[in-house]
Amino acid sequence: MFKELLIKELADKIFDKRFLWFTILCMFTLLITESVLLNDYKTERNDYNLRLLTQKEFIDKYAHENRIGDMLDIQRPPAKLRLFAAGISSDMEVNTFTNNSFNVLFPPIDFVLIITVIYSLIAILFSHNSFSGESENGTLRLILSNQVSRVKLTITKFLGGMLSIIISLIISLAIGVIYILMDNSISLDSNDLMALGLIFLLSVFYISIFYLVGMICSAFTGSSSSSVLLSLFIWAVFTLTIPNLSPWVASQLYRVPSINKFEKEVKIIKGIERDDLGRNLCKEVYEKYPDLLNIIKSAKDEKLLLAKLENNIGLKNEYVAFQKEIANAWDKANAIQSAKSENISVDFFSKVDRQIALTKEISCISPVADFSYAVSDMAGSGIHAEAYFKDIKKNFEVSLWQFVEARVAKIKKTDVMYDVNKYIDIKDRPEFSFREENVSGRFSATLSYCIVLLVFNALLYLTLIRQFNRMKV
Amino acid sequence: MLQAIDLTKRYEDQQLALDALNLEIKEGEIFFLLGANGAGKTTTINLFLNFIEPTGGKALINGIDVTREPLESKKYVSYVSENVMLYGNFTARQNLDFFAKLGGKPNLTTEDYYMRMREVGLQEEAFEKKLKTFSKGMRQKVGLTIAIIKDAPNILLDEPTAGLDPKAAAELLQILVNLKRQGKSIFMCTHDIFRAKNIADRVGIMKEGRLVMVRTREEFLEDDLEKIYMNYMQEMVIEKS
Amino acid sequence: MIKLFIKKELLENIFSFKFLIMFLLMFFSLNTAIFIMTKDYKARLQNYDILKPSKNEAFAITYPTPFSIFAHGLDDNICNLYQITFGGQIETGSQKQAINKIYNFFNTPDLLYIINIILSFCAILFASDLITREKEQGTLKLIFSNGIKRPAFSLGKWIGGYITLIIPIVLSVLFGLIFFIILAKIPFQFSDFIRLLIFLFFVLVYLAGFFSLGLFISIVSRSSAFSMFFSLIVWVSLVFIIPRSGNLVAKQFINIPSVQTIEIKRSQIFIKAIFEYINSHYEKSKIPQGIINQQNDKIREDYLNKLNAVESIARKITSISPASDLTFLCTDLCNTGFREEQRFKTFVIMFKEQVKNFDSDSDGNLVGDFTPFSYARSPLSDFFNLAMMLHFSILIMYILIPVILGYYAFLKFDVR
Repeated sequence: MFKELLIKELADKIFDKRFLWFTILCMFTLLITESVLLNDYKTERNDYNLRLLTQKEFIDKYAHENRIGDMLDIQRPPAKLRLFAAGISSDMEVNTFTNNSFNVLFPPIDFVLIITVIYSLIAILFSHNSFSGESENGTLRLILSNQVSRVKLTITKFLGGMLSIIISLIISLAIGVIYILMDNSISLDSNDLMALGLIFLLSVFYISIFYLVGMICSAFTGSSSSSVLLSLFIWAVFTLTIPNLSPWVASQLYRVPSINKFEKEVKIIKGIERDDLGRNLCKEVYEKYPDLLNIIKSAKDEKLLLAKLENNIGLKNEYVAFQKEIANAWDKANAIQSAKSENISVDFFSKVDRQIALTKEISCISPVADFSYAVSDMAGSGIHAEAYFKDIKKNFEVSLWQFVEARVAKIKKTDVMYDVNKYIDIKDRPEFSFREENVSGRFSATLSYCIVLLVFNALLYLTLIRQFNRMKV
Repeated sequence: MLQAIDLTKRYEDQQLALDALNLEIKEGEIFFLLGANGAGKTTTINLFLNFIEPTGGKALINGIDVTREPLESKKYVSYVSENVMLYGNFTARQNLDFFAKLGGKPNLTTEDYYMRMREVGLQEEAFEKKLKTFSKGMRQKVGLTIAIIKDAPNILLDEPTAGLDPKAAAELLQILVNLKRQGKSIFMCTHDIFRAKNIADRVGIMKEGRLVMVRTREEFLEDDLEKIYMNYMQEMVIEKS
Repeated sequence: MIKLFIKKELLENIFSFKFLIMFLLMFFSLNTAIFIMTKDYKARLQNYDILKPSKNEAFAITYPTPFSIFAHGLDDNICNLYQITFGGQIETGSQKQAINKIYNFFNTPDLLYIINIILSFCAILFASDLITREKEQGTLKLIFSNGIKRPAFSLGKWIGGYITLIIPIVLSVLFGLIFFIILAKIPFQFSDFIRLLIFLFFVLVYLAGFFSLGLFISIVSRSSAFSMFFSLIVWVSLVFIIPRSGNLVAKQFINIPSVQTIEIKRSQIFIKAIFEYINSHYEKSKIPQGIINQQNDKIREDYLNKLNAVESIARKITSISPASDLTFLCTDLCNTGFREEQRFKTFVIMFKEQVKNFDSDSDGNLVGDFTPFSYARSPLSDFFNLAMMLHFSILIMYILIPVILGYYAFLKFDVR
């Protein structure tokens, strides 16, 4: 009995003219999207390699302690599966005078959009008359006059319909993946393929939410024309309105001062304020060495001063002590101001983190948001993936700094005239290599979103059974 | 007066839907066209309303050729269809109002509509109710009221009694008799042979696009109309098998 | 006769379930959008007040425009704080507001977005069963059994349907304007209302396009279910697929380096110039400001040229879709579009030319007695140009083509 009902439902959907139409549309769109995104990925990877190369050559040639931090800006390689979820593009993170604004007005299309907009819409169009249509034909009474329980009917209808959509999804996804695999310049390893499988599962969970919405509306209204309107209305609210509004609402509920303001404050603390403080501290040192100061002032240039100091050992010692104290004064000023700015930035960024957490939580009431976060994290282009990269980058930077400091200490021993603007040879520095997180790590990061999606499914399914049991036949 | 002269319709798939129909329905006459599903009854009505173009012959309403002057000819005909849904969001009165204006009767008042609806036997409390709450019979009565209000000399009815209970069907036919007395030509397609016997002046039987038999009231009262009809139907079944 | 059809259409639709749902959706989304964007505007205005440069700072920033409530567009980019530093470098804060990370996943819910996507959805859905439903409920036959000219019917249908469609929009927008803009005392001048009227006019033209498309599909479809399905496919293609792939497709034609690459190059120019200056023992002939400025100008110009080329190709591709035409028109009208961004950037560059030769302190901040940066958004008269006419005429085409095709299709329409 179960099998017959399932097959009937499946055949009903697959032989629908619309099935063919939308499978072609999705296949076509996905193929175009993939081919364009693949090219985009390649250019981005070339760009990344170029960046690494210019950086390497530059450091080899111009490395000096003073600005080594600016030179060693660790670059993030583009994620392979960005083809499926654009997520946060690294370009958008940077704030410069030369922004690419087109992305802002027209965010690029990707697999996530195809699922969230096209497939969910199709799910609704397929399911909105699952009961009302049969009730209008009179076939519903006919079916229920047999030994079929209502629960069983909902299950078969749901599974049959979803199966037809899954078939279409598999077709278009398979063609997309085959297209990518045929291209030699990108190699998907088992990790990526597993991530892809999980993305596919997530898509199924997401689509089924809207399939259930359509079924509930069908059982609730009992007429095809009202149920399609009601379910499309719900669709529009949940996929077009709420996900876009919720981050803005959340960010306004919990305000964080603008980053421009924060950076301006930090700049003042580390700039003008530090200079003032340093000068005041230096003044105290100057007062301790009035004689030496006169000598320094009277000496016309560095060489004369050095010559004078060479002749008088007592004076030279005094000079060294003086220099040390001045350096200490500046160090002290730096330390005080750094602590101050550190306080401000800890405070600011904890606020920012709280804002982001709240925003994410609020936006999770829309399945679209859950789905986009989950897929982008799975694909390695999401918020979690970015944090993962930043962690690794931070660790690497620490080890790199240790390396540089050791090298500088070594040079200082042999070179008396060393200063921070002198070239240092760090050609043998450690190389940064980044491997994307493995699937299990990504999966645990997206688990909460998956659970939310499943809870949505379960709740909707229960509602469906309740609603269908109440439906008059 | 409705006239069909060699009226022929062949569809794109070469199926002959209507084969050289010759027919004339005079003022004050009720003509019933009987026939199985797909015999060509609805095609005839569609041709009279110029919803489809004939492939041969012509259809005349009050002497006006419907293909040549479709708009003019429609002044003289009103139409009642099978199972009309009408505008579900409108009340019965609003539906009447809209179609009365379309039918060239712009000056009718609410009271006029009420009167007409009373005449066809609609309950008073239904007048201002939305049509989507109506039963099939009530909807059909509103459809008929629309035809009555238009007050055209010819009325085409396409199986108006389909799906109605016997009482409602009987009431509907009684209205047709009244209309006939006002001198209207009435052309009705139906399966309902018993009603035909009761009120028709003439009865035609159609089979596979051909009008195979026409009997006047006197003739078919003598013969057993049911038997004739059944014979034709059976022939068809035999031919097919 | 047309009047009768219009009246009937209005009465029939206004009391329908569909209209109720549409009204709710529009009212809710339009007003939330206006409310949220008004709040956002106020927050950004406060931010501007904080960042507004004092007399001796070489900062370039401009105020957010109240029109960003309607079309937010690139206003975040335009209202960015730029600092001219040593060697004529144009610098910004290194990071964007962290919440932007999440915004990246979604669209900015401004009025333009709601109109572009949700209202066009309503319009095409609303029109998609106007004819098929009449057919299914049998009224079409009844209507044509009276001597009705088909053009009169279809025209009445168009006008009546369109009026019912725009009633909720006009009401919701008016409500939003009164409660969130006028009562909230957003600084709106009289001339701004003219801009607003033009904005609304574009919106009405845009929606008329989708409405006509829906009606055309309804005429050529056999059943409501199919016409709805087909309308939604058309809607998805026009509103999502074309505008969003244009950018990517355009990038295939022109090889444009990423913003990160440009940033790296920029910082390298600076480091190299300073390094060489110091290690040549401060020779006067090698004073680095000039070199830095010159090389920076070169890469910036190079990049901006490429970006403009990509933009112009992308603009051409996406223009096929009325949704992007509306985006271009409205962002330009509201002074939050590409044109405004470019104009602002040329002003910043001009400001840089003025101040680049001033002395700098140890952190690279320029010090001196320069006239502070000031910028006024472009006047309304700038808006009317050839590009705008082109986008507008495409919007008009989206009305004309379906209307004409629909007119002829309807003349041959099979009433049976």
